[in-house]
Amino acid sequence: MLYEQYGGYLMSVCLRYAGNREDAEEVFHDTMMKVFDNIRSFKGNSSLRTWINRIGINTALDFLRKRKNALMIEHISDQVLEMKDNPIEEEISIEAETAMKVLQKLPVNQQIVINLFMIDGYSHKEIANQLNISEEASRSQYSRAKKQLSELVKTKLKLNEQQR
Amino acid sequence: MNNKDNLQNAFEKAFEEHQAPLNQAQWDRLDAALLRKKNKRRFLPWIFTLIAVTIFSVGFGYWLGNKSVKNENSNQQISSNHNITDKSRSVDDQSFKSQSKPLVQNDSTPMASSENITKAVSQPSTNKHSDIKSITERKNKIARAIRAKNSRNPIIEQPKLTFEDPKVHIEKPKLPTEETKDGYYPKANPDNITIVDGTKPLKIIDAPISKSSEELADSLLNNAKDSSLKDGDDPKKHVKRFAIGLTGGISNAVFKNTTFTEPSKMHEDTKQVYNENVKQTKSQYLNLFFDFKILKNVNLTLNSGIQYRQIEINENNNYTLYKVPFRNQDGSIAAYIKFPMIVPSQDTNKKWDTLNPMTFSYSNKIGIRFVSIPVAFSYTLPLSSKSELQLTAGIILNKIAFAKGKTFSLNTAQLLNYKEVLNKKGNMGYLAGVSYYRNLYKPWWIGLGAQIQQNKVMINSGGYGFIKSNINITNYSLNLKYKF
Repeated sequence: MLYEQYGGYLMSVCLRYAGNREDAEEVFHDTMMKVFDNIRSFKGNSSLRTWINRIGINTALDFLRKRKNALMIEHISDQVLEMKDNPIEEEISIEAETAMKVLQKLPVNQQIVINLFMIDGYSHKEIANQLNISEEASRSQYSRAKKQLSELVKTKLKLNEQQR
Repeated sequence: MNNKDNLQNAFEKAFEEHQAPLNQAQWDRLDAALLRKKNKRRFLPWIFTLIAVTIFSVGFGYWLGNKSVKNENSNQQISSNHNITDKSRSVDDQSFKSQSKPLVQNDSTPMASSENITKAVSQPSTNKHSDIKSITERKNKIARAIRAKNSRNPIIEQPKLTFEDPKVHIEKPKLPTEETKDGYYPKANPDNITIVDGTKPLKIIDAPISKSSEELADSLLNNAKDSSLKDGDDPKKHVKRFAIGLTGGISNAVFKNTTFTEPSKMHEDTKQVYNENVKQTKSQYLNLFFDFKILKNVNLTLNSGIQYRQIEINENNNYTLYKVPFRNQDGSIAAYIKFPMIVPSQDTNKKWDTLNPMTFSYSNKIGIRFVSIPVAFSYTLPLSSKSELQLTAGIILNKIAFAKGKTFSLNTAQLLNYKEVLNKKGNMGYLAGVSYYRNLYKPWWIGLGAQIQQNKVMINSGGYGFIKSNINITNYSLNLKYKF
């Protein structure tokens, strides 16, 4: 069954974008309704999981637009700021729950860009289209977000080491 | 492996197979929503079918009712035709004679004068076959036959009645020389039949109807004439009990009277931006309607039906934002911060950033579909037997059925999906118009119309209240109507 097979994965996507359980459930519900409504139009060009994932992302972005006004055009959107950061040298492994918590510490705009680019594999061009911003703005946001994320991950890893 | 890859890989892996737990309540909610939707889908076709059947039944019922009433009226008019007196006219014997043929004609014998006829009847004949009593009996017999014929078959075209008797000659009837109960209609009147002796077979031939009688009969069949009409015009032909039709055309849609539900939360440029956004519009519509005559003797009809309208809006704008609102907690605007402004930089290498006025250039295409029910009264003014003018005024109940495209929202500085921000609650407007119709073929009428109507829209500005606007529409239509 569709719900059993893809429900958990979709809920994970919804949580990543919505940021909290309550909103994620709302997005999940709307997505499932859309999936059931449009399942006949699914042509099999991609996997069903990818198709559901795309619907989930679009629904989540619409939800955020409505509820949080999160996708405000940034004042500095026209300024391209490629930021240098301290790279993480070694290969790391993070649990999903930890990654989710770290992600939620970023501003909403940055969460979205990280989700779209880093996790869901969107290109900057696709992000620009999706968010109605320029490609440069997307790169800039991502650059800034990644730097912050990197710092947050490092801190988290340090804390984990200290706890051990 | 570089930093990007390490971080990205870690996140990709973390969420690749991650499944968040689902609870039963979620499934129950989804299940209930799906069930509701399924029932709604199952129910909708039934509603439409029911509406269609009701409209058809009402229409067909009235058509049938109208048909039977019409037949009844026609019969009454025809049967009463024999007793009609047209006081406006007088027929003298001479004029009637010149128009009508003799009632009875003996092929070989010249017509007797009325004096001779009277003489022949009043004086006993010397002929051995002549007998006053038998003549009177025959006269009465003929009279009865004519009466019976008239009562059995009350139509204008009178039947031929043959009667052969070698002894009797029936002469042309005397016709009324002044206004009588029977008028000038040349019905065979037994009192006017003079029977004289004859030696040859007789034929009784009912008189054909004179031209003036045909005219009278026509006018009686079609009811009294309206003094405002020309010859041959008939208001009943214009306004039937029931009519259905199709109207379609193009419209000019203008967004007017923009107001806000919460003005304190709206950016001061909102009206300017909105009016610019909705400047370029195109609209087409299709209207399936019916006319139902309300009063018997007045050309007033109730006009209703269903209208489908699409409006396309081309948003083309270059807007420069010079002021950014500084909002209170409730969303109302406390003050505006003007560009250029210096703000703390998010870049760690520098302290401040300078923000310049922003220009938003956008080009969006928006589509709105309305489904409306007009409820109006129409007055039909007959111009001639084949043309009429229909004046209509009433209200229109509008519902947005569908919307697509994106619109620029100044208060959120983003593009919003129109279908999500458009309030789909029904609204009411007015409509008024005029249509010129011409008879195309039998009950089919074709027309051209011009109409004004008002639809309304309400758009969510993205959390800062609604922008309300009237759409004043001018329709130019081609109409087709079928009158039952």
